[in-house]
Amino acid sequence: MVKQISFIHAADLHLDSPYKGLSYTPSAIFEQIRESTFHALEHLVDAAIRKQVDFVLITGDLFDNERQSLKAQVRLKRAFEKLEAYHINVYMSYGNHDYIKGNIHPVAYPSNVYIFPEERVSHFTYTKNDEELAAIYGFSYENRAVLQNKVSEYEIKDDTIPFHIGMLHGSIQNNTEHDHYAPFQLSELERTNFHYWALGHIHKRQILKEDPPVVYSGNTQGRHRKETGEKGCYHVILTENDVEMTFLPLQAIKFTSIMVDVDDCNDIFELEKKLQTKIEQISSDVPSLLELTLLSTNEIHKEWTRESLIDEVIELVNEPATVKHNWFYIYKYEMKINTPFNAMNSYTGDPFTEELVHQGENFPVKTSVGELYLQKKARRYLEVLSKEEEETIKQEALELVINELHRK
Amino acid sequence: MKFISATINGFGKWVDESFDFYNEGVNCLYGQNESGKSTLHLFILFMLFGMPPKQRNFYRPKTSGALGGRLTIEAKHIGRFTIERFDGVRNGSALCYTEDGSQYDEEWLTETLQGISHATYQSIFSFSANDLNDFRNMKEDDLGEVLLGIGLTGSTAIHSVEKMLDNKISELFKPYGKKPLINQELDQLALLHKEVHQSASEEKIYQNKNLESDKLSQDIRTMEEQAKQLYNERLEMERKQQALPVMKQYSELREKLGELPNSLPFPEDGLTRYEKLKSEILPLRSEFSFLVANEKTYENRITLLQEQLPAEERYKEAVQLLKLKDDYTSFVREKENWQSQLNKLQNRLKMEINQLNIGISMEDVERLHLPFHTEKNWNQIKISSGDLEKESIQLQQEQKELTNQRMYTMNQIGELEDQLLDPHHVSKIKENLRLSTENELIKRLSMQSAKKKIKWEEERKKKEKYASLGLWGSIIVALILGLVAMLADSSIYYVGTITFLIIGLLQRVLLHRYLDGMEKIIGMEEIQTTNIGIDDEERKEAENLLASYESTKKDIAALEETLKSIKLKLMKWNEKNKMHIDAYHVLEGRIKQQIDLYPFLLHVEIDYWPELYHNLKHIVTLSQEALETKENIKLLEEKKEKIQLELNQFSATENREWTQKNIQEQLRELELFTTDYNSNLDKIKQYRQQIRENTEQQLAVKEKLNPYETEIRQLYEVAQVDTEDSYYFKARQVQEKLELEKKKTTLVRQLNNFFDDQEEKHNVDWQEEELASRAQQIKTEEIELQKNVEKKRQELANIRAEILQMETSETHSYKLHQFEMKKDRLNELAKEWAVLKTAKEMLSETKRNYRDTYLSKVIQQTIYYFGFLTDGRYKSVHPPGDGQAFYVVTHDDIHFDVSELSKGTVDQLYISLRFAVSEVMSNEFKLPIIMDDAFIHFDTERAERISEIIKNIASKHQVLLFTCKKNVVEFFENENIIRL
Repeated sequence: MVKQISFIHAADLHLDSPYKGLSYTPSAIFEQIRESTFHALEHLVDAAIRKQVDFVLITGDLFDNERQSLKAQVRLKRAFEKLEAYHINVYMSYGNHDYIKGNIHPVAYPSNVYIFPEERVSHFTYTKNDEELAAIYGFSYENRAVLQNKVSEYEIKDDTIPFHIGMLHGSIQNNTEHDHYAPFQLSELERTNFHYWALGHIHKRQILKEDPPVVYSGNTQGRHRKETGEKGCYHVILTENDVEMTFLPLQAIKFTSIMVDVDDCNDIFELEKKLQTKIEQISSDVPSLLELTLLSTNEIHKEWTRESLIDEVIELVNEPATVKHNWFYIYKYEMKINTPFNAMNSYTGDPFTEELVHQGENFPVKTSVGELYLQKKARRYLEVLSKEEEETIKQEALELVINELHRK
Repeated sequence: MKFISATINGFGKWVDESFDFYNEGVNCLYGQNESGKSTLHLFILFMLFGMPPKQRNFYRPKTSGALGGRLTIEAKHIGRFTIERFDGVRNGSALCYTEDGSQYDEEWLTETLQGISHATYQSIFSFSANDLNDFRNMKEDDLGEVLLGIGLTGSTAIHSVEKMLDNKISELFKPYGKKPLINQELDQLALLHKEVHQSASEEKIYQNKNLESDKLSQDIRTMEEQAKQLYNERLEMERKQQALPVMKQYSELREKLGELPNSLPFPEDGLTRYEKLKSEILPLRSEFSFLVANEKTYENRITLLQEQLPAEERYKEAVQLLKLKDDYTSFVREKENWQSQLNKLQNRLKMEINQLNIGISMEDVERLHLPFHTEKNWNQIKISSGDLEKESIQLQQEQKELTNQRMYTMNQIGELEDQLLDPHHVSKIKENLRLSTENELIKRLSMQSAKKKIKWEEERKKKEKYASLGLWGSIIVALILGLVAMLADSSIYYVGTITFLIIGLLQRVLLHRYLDGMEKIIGMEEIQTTNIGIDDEERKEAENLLASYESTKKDIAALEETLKSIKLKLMKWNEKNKMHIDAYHVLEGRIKQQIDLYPFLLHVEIDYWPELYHNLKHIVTLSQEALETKENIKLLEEKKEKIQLELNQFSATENREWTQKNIQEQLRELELFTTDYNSNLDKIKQYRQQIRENTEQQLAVKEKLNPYETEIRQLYEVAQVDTEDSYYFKARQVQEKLELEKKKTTLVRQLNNFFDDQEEKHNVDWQEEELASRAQQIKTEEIELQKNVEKKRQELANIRAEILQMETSETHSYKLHQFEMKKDRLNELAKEWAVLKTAKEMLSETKRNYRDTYLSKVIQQTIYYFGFLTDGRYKSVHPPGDGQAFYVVTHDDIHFDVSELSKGTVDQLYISLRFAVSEVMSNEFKLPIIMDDAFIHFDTERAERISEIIKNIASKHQVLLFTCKKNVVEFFENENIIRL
């Protein structure tokens, strides 16, 4: 008989971690958002049961120590208990967000849960019908960061076991987007002769390599406007000479970004209608959080924006949409108006505007916003402005002043 | 920019009037007061900037209806164009025509005028004497405002934007505000943050709560167990308490039962059966006992009779004794005869003893025994005594002779001995001779011993060799055995080892000893030879001496022989004498013997002893006769006594009193005794007969009794008793036991009601008080425990609820999410604010820069003009700053505040400043300058200087100078003068 194991590979559950960049939602949606990571977990458990997998791998960041909630671990425990009832093992490691020493609520998980106990790579053996089928290797973050390359510690311990799976929470070296936690190089992983690499840490799902599979399953629920699209896990069936990987979406709420050209809307009602139509076209089997970009060249839209008419329209659109079963909610919009007017050019000759533009070139945003950003009370809640943000603020400010000064 | 011409259709006093302005230099418009100078000035401004309708009404011409006109201007980039405004047309807004025929609106005009407003224009390019009044108080801002107002944007727009920004900013955030949005958000956020912290720290205790909960449930379990135990114990106690009286009864019962034997065999219905038998038996028994009583009476009577009745032998004895009565009478008579004979004999004897008179009594005589040899003895003694007397005399003579002979011989020997050599000397000579002979002998002997020694030495060596061989041999054997012993670890081998060692050593030591001993012996044989040499002469002399010595010695020996024979004779005499003395002693012994036997002999000479013997013999015979007679009497007496004795003996057993009585009386009693005896015997016979009958009757009764008794015996057997009492006792016991058992069963049943288990061995040592107090104690403990359990349960429930609440609590999660969202909102607002703030800052900064840029130019120009006007008295002018007003510095470095300057100087300064501003601004915007009676107060000199300046300015800009002063016009004689 051909030896075969099936499992689910997930990572970065970030249970009960709040969303980023959501400044306001209606309370009903807020509740759903709050539950979304748990729903994703439930979907994961359901998927594991439905697919009758042998075990589940969770490669780190199950929750956030920074914003730890007991609920996260209690619900996690319940989920594991449900898996236990179906005799599905869980192999999990802790990542940089749920590192062992930062966990203030060490909850005892059921016996089907195998947690890699330390920063040194160790392994568990999966046994099915008294047959040692798979060796699962991994390590947990004990502290906030693991900065050394851990690949060398992954060594096959027992050749007689047919399948070897590595669990690694970290990122590829030279990846500039993330901190270099447990950095590795693809070539190093290839050399290990493992049958599957279940990676975690990167929230964007990606298959780095097909043979052997080196996979980031991504997070199970997007929590950020940039974490768009479907989020979930991989259902993997390993046979001795074949791998079958299926992506299973788990997310409870989807982040979606849409663009609508409203250039031809000369009437605010037209714009509303256009938006409604456009949004109804989006079909999704889960609720969506929409980031809307309105494209226009119409000067009048500037006026609408200034007069908060667009806000009202968005509200009007949101109102009925948020009560639907698969609701959607426009949490953010941007009016991009590309007018022929160019501040820099149209006011040359005006010494004051010239002076203004000149000022804008090297204006110290940090100093000007210090009043708030350095205020003791506000400082702790405000994120330090990045260079890009500063630039944006500067441009917006300049545009605002010029527009306002030359407003008719 | 230059004004070319102005056509007034109607404006104030001017109706359908046209003015052409000169292109170059100063346009001096001269007219008296009320000539319409100011109205023309205003018209130009109206044309340029328009006028509110209300103000326009003021200038509506009284004569014609059309308020308005045209102003033609020449601009650098646009060329000539005409501004047309009419009150009734487009509400007074401008219409511009360029030379190419294009029409433009107000907006275009503003743009062309680079945003300069009426006020700005007035402040820069048109000024009048009145303005000077304000100058003294001019502050930095005011000047700045003036400058800002110049340019396309215009200070109003800037102001309104600033105000808008400020509003928006303060709507969003104020550093110390409460109301603005961000402030509110911040407060909420801080609150939320606190709450998040709160809920987080609440969750932090989750672990502790869990531990606490575990501990509590453990505690409760333990306590419940304790409570259960206590409850059981208390139940037990209570049961015990309740059961205690029963228990006590039970224990007493058990004790009682314990006292009873374990098995009590008893016939069924034994007592009744027994009673019945008894009732049957009793009459029989009484009959029987009656018979027995009778029998006993008879028997008693018989016994009584028999007791009274002497024994048959006695009776026979009595009959026999009665026969002795006749003997007794004959004996009495015979005794009397013998007594008289004795008396006679005794008298005769007395007489004869007295005749002898040797001190002998009658008793002596009676005792005297004279055997037949006495007579012979006494004769022999008489003869021997005489013989010994003679022999003693003869012996004394012989002794005398022998003593004399001996004395003589002894004297002779003494003489000879004096002649004899000294025996010591003789022995020395003898010694010398002996030694010489001995020496030779010894020499031979030593030769022999030397040989012997050599031989011994050889043998010794040989023996020693054997000995050491033996020793080593045994040591080796011992070693081997030792080794074996060590290997085998056997004590036998050890013993062998030691034995061999000892043997070896022993034989060695023994041999050594033997050899040593032998050595000594052999060594001793080595005798030293002494050399004592004696020559022959000496020897001869010695031999002679010895020979004479020997002959003397022989003589002495002969005499000594004689002495010896004398001595022998003496000895023989001594023997004889001794024999004589012995014979004498023997005789004396015999005499003494006889005297001992017959003491009376002591007083009688030995020679008379034979005669005495015969007399004594006669006396003794008489005494013999008397004795015999006495003997006969005694015999009779004895016979009598025998009778008496027999009688006494009989009497002693029969009747003591009789013994007191004499024989005859006793004999009489005896006769009575025999007759009594016979009569009693008859009575006994009679009673016996009656007893026999009685016995028969008894047997009959017994026969009847027998079956009953057998039955009773059977009952007894079953009951294992042998007496009625014990039967009854047993019956009672059985009854008792039965009752006790019954009671016990009841009690056990009762006890079993208390105790489920059938424990037979209930502890009976319970003390009621102890139980009660223990039960009470337990109860108290129970209550206490119960209370504690309740408390703990409550605590546990609380904690469980808390835990559950924590586990299900959405609070923290909710707060967390809310907090994050709020934070995001804050960040968003902050960014919004940042944009506004940056915009505002940027604007302010631009404003400042803008002002600074133009201010320095203006001041520079001011200094130039001021210096010129004051003929170089002041070298520097400082604009207001840091809350200070203008101040100036003289050429000798003295500072003066504006307020310290004279009115005229202040006017000069102002004029300088105005000119400077106008000039600088005109350089930028190239607008014509309009002056309306600006230096009305100036003296001629200063006015002249000003006119110089104006002329100078006019070389670059068009200047319209309105004046009513003739002298002023004179300064511009060479310029274009327009008279109104």
